[in-house]
Amino acid sequence: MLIDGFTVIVQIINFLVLVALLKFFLYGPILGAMDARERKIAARLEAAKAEEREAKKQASAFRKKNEDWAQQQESLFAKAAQTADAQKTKMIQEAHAEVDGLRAKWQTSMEQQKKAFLEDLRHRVIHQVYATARRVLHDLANQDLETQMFSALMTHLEGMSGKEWKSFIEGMTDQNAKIIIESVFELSATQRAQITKLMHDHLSEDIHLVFETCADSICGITIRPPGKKMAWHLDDYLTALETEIKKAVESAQGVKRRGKHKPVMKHHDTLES
Amino acid sequence: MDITDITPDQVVFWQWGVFSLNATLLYTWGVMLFLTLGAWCITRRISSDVQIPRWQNLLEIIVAAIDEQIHEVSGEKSGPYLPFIGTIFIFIAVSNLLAVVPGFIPPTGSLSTTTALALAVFVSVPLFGISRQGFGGYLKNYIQPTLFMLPFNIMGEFSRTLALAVRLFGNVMSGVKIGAILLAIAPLFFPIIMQILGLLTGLIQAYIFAILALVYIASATRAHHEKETETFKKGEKTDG
Repeated sequence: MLIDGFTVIVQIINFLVLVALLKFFLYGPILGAMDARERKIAARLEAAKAEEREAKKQASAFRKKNEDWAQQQESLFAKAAQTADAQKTKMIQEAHAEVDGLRAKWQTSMEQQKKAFLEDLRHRVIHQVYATARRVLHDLANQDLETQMFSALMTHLEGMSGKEWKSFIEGMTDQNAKIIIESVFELSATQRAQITKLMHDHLSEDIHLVFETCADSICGITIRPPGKKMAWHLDDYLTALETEIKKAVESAQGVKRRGKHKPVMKHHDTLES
Repeated sequence: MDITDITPDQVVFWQWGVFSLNATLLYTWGVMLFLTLGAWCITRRISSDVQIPRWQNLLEIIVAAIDEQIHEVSGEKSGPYLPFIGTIFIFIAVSNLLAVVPGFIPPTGSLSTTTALALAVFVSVPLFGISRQGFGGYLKNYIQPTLFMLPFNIMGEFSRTLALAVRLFGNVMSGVKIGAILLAIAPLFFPIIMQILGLLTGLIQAYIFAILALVYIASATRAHHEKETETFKKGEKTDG
């Protein structure tokens, strides 16, 4: 008989025991380990996904920050450029103002120096011309300048027409008004009497003459009725001389200014660029 | 065991009345011990990390393959069937593979063993069917498609159990016997080829036995499973 009943029964039992043993030692642990691994991998994948999400979020945030920074940078650059332009314009204006101020100051100083020089020159010329004329007259003609000057004035006054005398005193309302005769030298008594007589003859006996000496006055004699002035001195000549000198000085300044102006313009160009 | 001994049941080491310790039982216990100790040695230091020992990897491949096969055939989760079907496959496969060990007589070459396994399948089919469909539901399968099919269905149950037992026994026994005969005729070369072929045959037989058992069990439970699937689909349509 190929089939043994006892063996069949024992084999069935053996098989069931083997099923139990393998379930306990093989399938249970192996499936448990596989499930645990799957859970772990799933957890890791989930964690990785979460990290990826977080990374994407952070990347997005960083991108936004970078864009913001770029915008801020552009804005700051634009602002800086604007500020620099404004500063540049301001500095150029200040430099122009400073140059203008310096120029004005220099011009003022030059004017003052010129004025002072001309004044000084005028005085020197007066004294020199006066001294020279006196000396020339004395040495060559044996004449006194003051005397000759007074004589010439008297000749001029005596030659004046009635209309001129009338015009001379038209500002005088009071017949007793005084006429100031100012001279740079002391008039002698004779000379005073001569001019007093002349005034009385042509104008009025009531006229009162006041003689004054003024050292600062330009060489000559000045007659001052109220509201009028008649000068007999070197002033016109000196004024003509002064005008000529002024022209010469200004011409010299013009050359200097043009010469000096070039570097200023160059400097100006440099600032502009 | 002699060439004249057609089954290892006939190799009896000890006997007392009906109780006998034959080669079938002895080698079955040897295979059981081998499987149990092997599984215990490998799984006692089991790891659920990504890095695992190679023997654990081997066991995982085997168990995962069985699990997948069950899932493919039954269309369900392998949970309740895995220990039963897996043990059938592993026991038969290991018994057949160990046939290459000189002196080892595969217990699957015993008709008693194959009968025992076939009986286990025979009993498990209605048990799984009843557990899934209930007693009445399972019995209804026998009168499908008509009541007249009842005797044929019952005959089919018995005949397929018999076919299971005899197919495995015949293949294993014949393989061993052919090997022994060829060893006697041409001892140098042909026995090796036949042994290699025997290993392949043994694995195929293990696979066939396990798959057929699974198909029988699945056919007993599938009717219920299909009903559940249809109900689910109807429910989806109604909801949709």
